[in-house]
Amino acid sequence: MPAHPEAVRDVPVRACAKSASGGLRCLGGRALIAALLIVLLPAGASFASPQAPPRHAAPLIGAEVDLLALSPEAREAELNRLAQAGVHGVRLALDWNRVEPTRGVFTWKADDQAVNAALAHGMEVLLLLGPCAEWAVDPAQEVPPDQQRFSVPKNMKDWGRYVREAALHYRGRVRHWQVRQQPNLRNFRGTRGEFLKLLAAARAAIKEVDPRSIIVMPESGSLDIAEIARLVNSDNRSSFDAIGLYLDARPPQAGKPGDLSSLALAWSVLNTEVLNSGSPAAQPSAQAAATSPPVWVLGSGGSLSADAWLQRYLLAWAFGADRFYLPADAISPEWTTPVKGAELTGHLRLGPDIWAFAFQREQAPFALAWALQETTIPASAIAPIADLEAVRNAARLGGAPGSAVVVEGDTVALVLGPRPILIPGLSLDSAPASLDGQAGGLPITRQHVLAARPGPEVSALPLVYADWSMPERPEFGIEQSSLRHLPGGQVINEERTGRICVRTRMRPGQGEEEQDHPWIYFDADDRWLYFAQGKTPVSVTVECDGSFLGKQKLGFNIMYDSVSGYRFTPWQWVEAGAGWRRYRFVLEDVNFANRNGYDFRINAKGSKQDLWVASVMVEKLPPLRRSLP
Amino acid sequence: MMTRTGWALLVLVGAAMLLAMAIAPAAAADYPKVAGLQAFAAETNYMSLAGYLRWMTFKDQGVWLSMAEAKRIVAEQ
Repeated sequence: MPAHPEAVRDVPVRACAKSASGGLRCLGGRALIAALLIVLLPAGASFASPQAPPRHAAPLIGAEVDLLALSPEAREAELNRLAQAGVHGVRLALDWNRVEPTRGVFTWKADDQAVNAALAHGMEVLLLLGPCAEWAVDPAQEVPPDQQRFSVPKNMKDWGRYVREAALHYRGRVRHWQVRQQPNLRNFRGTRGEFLKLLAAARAAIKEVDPRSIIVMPESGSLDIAEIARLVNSDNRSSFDAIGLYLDARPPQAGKPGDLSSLALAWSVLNTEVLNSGSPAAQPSAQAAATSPPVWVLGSGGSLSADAWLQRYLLAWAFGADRFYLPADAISPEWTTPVKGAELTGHLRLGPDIWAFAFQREQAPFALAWALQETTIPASAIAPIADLEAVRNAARLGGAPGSAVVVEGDTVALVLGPRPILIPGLSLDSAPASLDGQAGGLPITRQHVLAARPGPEVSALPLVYADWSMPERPEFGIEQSSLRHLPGGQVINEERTGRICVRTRMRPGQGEEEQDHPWIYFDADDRWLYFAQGKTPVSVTVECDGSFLGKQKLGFNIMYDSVSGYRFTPWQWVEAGAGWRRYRFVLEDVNFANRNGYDFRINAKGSKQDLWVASVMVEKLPPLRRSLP
Repeated sequence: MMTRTGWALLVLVGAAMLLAMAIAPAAAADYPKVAGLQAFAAETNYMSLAGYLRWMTFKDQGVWLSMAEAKRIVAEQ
């Protein structure tokens, strides 16, 4: 056994104590309201009428298409195609640089042609306001020329004038307005406060022209539920009418953003714990309950295949999205026609590999199912078979009847793949149930999504750990090894005085950033802790080797996902000399919502030598525990 | 006539609503909060707060902020 440390340091996070206590008090108050609502609302509702099981109508389909780039003939042909595919609307960029090339001089001709063409095909138009006019950017901000459109105007009056002129020009034709593209660093070089000012100013200008207009607030990307929760529960709630989501386009990696299971988890929490459109037992906020905005999907942060778009469309349907904008070339009557007029009634399989949902149209139930990798399963694995002959007609969307089945005698097997298949003849009349017995109705909760994930059950454990010398299970309940692709995180396993450690690889020199890896990333299992909202304090104990360079040459802190974004613990110097040291940090305001794909990282940048970490233990602490006066 | 319980409930609801409004975002949520760190110390890699934010943003997202932009973000934190 390795020698254990002389002392365990308790390093409270001073900066977070005040905000954490405030947050907890606040949540306590809202929890009381929620409790009252739980008691009062269902009782009142029961006098009105028995509630039918919830069903979701299909999200209206919107197309992202650059109509301005098309010739009149090509534009007409594309709009005809989209209209025949059932597209309800288009999203068009109303580029500030184009319509107001110099201050106070507006030109609408090109945009008018695009807007009018869409309207002529019976489509609604969502206009995207932005990006920033380059002439409006403050030169003192020294924004690189090719990035100026992603900046913010120096004078808010310029922005207000552009928005107001646009609202006036399109009054009676356009009612839906999106304020800037997803406000992350790729598209928006301002601060959060500046974005909210742009949002509020746009709303004021547009509503003054047409009070019935809908203002869509884009989230920053990757379904950032923590940020959405903060906005919905703040006075900024009055600045928007709908929430716009961007569905992450990173390649699938189990349990990580980009993976459908992660998307479903975030969306379930958004619906049932943030927006309160789901289970009343989870309602945290009476204010939010009264003003839950509809959710519009605005696209993705990157490119996706047509099948991936279709999968996300069905997921959005399951979570009750109002509208779904996707690239025009991913829209096809092959999949829009077979599902037209249907309602989604429940879930059958929630991944992580196989997905299936139950639908009904004109009293005829059917299922839609897909798998991330091609696989063959018995049809009865989706739901009990009611009509074997009908099941034999199961087909890929766009395929001929029977194109997705293998029949051997009385056994019908489904050939699942990325393109969803439509399966008739299943017994879906009653509340559907998944294979593991989880209730399959709506709304879908975090418990539904997490129950479908494989792996050991860790939710009730008091602690999770990583100890890379453990032969069988070096990481239990937290992941590190799978996160070494993240920026600055290409750390390595290395033996150090008899133990397997994770070693940083720091390069102090300028120009060596590519080889500089000072961060050790961790992600707690979502079943153990996810979207904690500051209700579950944790301690993180890091066991590392002493500083061989001497005093104050090696140190680290922890950057973690808190209720107010990423923040740092105080810096901790590692004692000089050989031997294992343990340092304990108390984090009172964790959120751990997989933001950017991780929950916390050890940061050794600022040290003069590398850090060797032998183990990390994360422990849940009792709620309301205070480490500070 | 409102009972004591009714008044207490009203006060609690009012306080809860005020607190809910008080958590309006005031910071650039996409950027790590460096405002509480000590500038020109190990925890900022011996840089200014704005310089450290610039470095970290480049490292994380591959984008260099200008110094003026970074100062603006830190000031809002």
